[in-house]
Amino acid sequence: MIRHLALLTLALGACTSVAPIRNIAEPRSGVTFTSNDIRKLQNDDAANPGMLWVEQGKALWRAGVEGAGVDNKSCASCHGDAEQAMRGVAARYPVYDAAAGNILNLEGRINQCRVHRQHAEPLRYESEGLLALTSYVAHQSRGMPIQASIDGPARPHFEAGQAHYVTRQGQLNLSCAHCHERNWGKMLLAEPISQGQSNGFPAYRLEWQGLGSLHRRLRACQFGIRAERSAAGSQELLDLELYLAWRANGLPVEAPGVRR
Amino acid sequence: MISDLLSRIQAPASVRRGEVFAVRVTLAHPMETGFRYDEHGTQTPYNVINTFVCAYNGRPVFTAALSSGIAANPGFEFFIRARDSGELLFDWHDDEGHQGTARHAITVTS
Amino acid sequence: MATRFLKRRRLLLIGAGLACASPLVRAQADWPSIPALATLLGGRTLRPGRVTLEIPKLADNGNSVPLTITVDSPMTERERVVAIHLFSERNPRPRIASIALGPDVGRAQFATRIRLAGTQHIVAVAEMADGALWGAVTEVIVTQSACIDDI
Repeated sequence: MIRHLALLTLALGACTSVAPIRNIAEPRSGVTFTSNDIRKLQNDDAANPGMLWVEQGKALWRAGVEGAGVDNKSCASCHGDAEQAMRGVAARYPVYDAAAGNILNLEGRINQCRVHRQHAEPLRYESEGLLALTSYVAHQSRGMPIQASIDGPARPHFEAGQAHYVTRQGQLNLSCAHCHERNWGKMLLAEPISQGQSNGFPAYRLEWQGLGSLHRRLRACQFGIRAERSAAGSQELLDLELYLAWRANGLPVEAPGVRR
Repeated sequence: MISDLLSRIQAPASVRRGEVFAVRVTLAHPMETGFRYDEHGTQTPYNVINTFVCAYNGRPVFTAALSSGIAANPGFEFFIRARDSGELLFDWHDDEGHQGTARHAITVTS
Repeated sequence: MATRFLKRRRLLLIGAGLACASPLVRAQADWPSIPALATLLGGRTLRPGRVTLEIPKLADNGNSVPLTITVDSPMTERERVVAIHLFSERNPRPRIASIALGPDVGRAQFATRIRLAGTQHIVAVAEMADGALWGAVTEVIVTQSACIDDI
């Protein structure tokens, strides 16, 4: 049923290019589904363990990239002070990039900079360096509402992400929408099901005992429903990330969020 | 985990003599239990911050012997009574011999 | 339903109050059997009281449970807490932490986040300058995550 509806929406979207309508008109951040203790941890910078990665990212932003670039450029060499230059950036991501001919998330943009501007090796997904830089950049938009654009060349990526969102996957034969659109607010054992909003990422998860990217979280969901897992940074997760960002438009960036 | 035993320290820069102030610390460390396996199936050895000391002008205030019962990326909050201006010195060690240090200057007004 | 629950809770509270008022019950606080705790005590008496253990009844995740220990003490040069010990009943390492507090500690309060390998009792022990030992025990329920993750 949902699939048919989605296909219908897709078809309509493709024919008339009508602005899509969100199933959840007023999204709620995942943090509102957590306990007081977790909210306290997230909101208190002196306690939020994710701030360790932000701190590390600040150092990396200013440090030249060793052993690679001939001119040993740092992020700051071009962009200056991240607190000004990066303010609001994460709230717009993922964005379409003409040079890449694809959408880029923050991780992708950081690596594009590393390869093309700093002449260095890209950082591995989920490496401490990439997590630190991503959370530092995302942190500069904390509190700002997500405003992802799905216009123009981003549109096909949005539609692919949307199709992925409503497609049944894995041995449990569930789509993202089954839990996070149809059943949010209900309990799954001792935990409430959230709307699966992406605005807290990169986030410190108690389950991980560390900070992780949105793609790690999505892969965890795929594992949970016993589906084949997409690679971090893969096209399907990028497209899904754009769909999720549009779905979360208006919610504040929380990076580094704290989640169960 | 983050390299070089990173830390974040929060304490006031200036306090009145006799006043009690909070010191809040977060340390970057996985606090390995010895029960985890990495992606190659190798057991990660037990490795935790076993000692954490905070000294106030050379006098130990808070000396903690810790185990894997403390959560990863440990956080501590404790309270000190302001005596004299000077320095809080934080010093910690893990089982693999890594050491971390941090300093926080404090001005005591009367 | 809610009122019934409240009534039951009130009854329980009254019951708990009566139990505390009875000196017999007080003297025989039931400390969980933790060998590491017995070693620390070394035959000394651990009295219940003066220590408040603030910890969620139901933990979000056993990997990180917030905890605050407060000891009723004026924290003067003579009358102060010199050490706080924290024990778990079921962790592979039952002695979670032992903390020596110097004379500059201005308030007998300490907060951290701990790991709990399953539902169990936690014991906090305060060692006073005069050698007295005061303690508190509480049970924390640790549930499994609803959605499994590959760590």
